[in-house]
Amino acid sequence: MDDRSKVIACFREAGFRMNKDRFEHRLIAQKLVYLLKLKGVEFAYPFRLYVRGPYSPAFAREYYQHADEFSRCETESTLSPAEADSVAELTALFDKIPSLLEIGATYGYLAYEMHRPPQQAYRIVRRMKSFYSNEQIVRGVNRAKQYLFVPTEEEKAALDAELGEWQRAGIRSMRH
Amino acid sequence: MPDNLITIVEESEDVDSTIISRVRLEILWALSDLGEDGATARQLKAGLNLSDGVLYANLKKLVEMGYLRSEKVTLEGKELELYAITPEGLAEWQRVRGWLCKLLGCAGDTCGR
Repeated sequence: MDDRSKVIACFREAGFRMNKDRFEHRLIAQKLVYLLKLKGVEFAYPFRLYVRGPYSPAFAREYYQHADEFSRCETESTLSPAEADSVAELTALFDKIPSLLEIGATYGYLAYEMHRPPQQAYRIVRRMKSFYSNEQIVRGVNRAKQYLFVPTEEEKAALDAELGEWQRAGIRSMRH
Repeated sequence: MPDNLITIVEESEDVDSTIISRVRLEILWALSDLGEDGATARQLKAGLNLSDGVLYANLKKLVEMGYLRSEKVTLEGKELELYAITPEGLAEWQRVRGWLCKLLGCAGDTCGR
């Protein structure tokens, strides 16, 4: 499946019919594809950090040159169950809200691609996206963390140990 | 003195020296890869860490020179000013970048950006 068909399949899954003449739609499209790529959905489009946040000129050429295909949002291609899950989770968390996607994608680039420590990534997002309120920034960053955080086996074991105790305590308390 | 003295002097005549200022170069650099999509004034201001006065004075000048175009766009119900590089702006940016690379002795005709 080529990249364009896969993007259109993702947009169809997300219920996003793109109109390239709308600034908002171009922003949503870029950030959706970038966050999906970070999540592990394979796209060849290279992304780099610009003043807009993560952005791919190669992907932009696609939606300008094939605007009809994007606006029709129709493709023969189908997503794998894992890819469809990634789209569903992204849509549920960000609700296609441009500001949250811009903040979340920028944080994702800094923390997960440039491997900046979380605090430093958060500070850079606050500076680069200072036109958004603190509340919007916190929401965008938290959603990116929620979407992209994959615990290691060690972290899973630590979480299980921590949460297991609470779970057992909860069960015990219900017995009384 | 490098061997390309004559080239640098000759090519400098083709370079529009009014764009050789830190802020104008930064703006053209920031917009050069963004094509028609461009960036909003607030993204440029925050991303390049510029004050309103400096940003708008330089954006206005670059629009007057025909190197940028501007349009109003809407984001979450808010009206914003979007700036994008024009074909003339891109050509001038590439010319200046090539010339600066020669001047600074970078490898090749232009630095890989």
